[in-house]
Amino acid sequence: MKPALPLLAPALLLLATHAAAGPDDDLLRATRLAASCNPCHALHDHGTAGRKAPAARPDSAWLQERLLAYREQRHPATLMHQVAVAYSREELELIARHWAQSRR
Amino acid sequence: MTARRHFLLACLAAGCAPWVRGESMARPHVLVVGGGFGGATAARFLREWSAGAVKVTLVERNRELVSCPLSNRVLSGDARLDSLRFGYGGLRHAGIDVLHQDVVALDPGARELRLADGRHLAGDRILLAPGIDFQWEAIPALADPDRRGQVLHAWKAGAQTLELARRIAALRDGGVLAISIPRPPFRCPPGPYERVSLIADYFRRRKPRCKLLVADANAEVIAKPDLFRQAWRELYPGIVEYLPEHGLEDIDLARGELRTQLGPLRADLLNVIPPQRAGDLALAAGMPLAGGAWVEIDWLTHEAKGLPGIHVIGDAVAAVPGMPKSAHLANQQAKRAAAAILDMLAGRSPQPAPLLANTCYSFVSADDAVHVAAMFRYSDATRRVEQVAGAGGLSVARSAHEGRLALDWARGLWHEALGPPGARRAKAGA
Repeated sequence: MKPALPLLAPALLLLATHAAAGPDDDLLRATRLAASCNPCHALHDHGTAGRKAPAARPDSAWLQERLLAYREQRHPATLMHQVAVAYSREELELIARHWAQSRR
Repeated sequence: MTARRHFLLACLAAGCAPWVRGESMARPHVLVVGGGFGGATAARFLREWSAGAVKVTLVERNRELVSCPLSNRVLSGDARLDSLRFGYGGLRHAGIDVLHQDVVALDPGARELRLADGRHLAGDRILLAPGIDFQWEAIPALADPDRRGQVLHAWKAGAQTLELARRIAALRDGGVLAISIPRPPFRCPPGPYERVSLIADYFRRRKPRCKLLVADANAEVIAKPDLFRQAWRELYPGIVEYLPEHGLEDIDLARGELRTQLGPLRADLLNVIPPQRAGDLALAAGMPLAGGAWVEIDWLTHEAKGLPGIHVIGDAVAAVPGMPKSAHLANQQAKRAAAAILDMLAGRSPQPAPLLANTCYSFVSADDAVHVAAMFRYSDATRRVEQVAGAGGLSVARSAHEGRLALDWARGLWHEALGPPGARRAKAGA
């Protein structure tokens, strides 16, 4: 049987490091916050409506500004303005960074 | 620093995960029971977010998931049921052990399941996604299981969906269909009204002299009321007759009659959506039930109240005010529970995402859809999830654009639960 540790280490690195606050903590929070976007936006295999993945552009500043515009009702939307308003500015920044980094 | 050393230091800082302290280094094992939108999504995220470090076994009695989202379109001939049937190959591909078995017993203390084939499965944690079952005792005529096939619910997509579609297609032009809607909570609050809309659209196109009686136990349409009412008024005049406060008391099977609190309603075809409760497994496992029907949970960890290590998600959960029972919220709860479980396995305080989003699209015609959105946030103060005031909302108007968004949304939910299209394809005869 293969030793378990090599399998465990890379995975739990992500999880375990949030014991200490810092960049890794933000990484974990961002991953979990951004997961709420997936059902509508992950663009796994679809795109009937032409709706783009949150980070179709790997540019966190652009995405962050767009999310804030939804939050502040400054950009027209079908429903994003109804969703984004529930997040804090800091949470939207984390989400924008997550999607931008995940698409690079 | 190597990943191995970093991992060990991090675990030490976190107080040492119990499964690291042990002499053996067996991988932690999570048992997931129920392969619907909640359970399947949780299984996939437990694997993905642990990069395979956690062993995940999914126990699901059926060999395929039939999607409730979009299944009302089968009744109107706008979709084929086969397009909504999916296999579990995508989960196996992700390294999840999938067992098609019934769970006959759950020992919460030992965190052990007994399967119908006699096997025992033990896990470090158990996640239950039992879904819903029906309160048949509320409808005396259907208390006998042998009679239930006479009146279809089609509220779990599958064989009943096909049979109801067949009976609707066989209805003579000029015939009457009556739909009975229970009081909430029930799975998919907009679902009955979407069903009314799509069947009415079918009647308008194919059998314009047919009529649809909507016997609602509620005083008003309980989801997206203005959008549904407007669609019925503008698109289906003379077809939909909405009857509020017509709660079902019984059915006269011989006469084809709904006995409602405001009198009998006769129809050529009946579709009765029964009152609901948490799935049988939750009852069999002795879960703490609110109102005798829904599982009370700790909203931080998703553990059933008083049953540490037994997590519950999805429609079976006793929802907070404003929270519907939906595939989308099952998806969101699945990820929160997966995150909490991984934290707890690593010996840390659970810190799942604080927010849950809900979006539900409903078709009001073959092409046009509407949505409702709601947001929920965990409160450290109340230790509950609460609806976010000022967030969420409804469509401005029905549109074909939202119809396309609805199809994308369903595909997104399928992918999250079951993997990419090639992997999730149902096998013929499986």
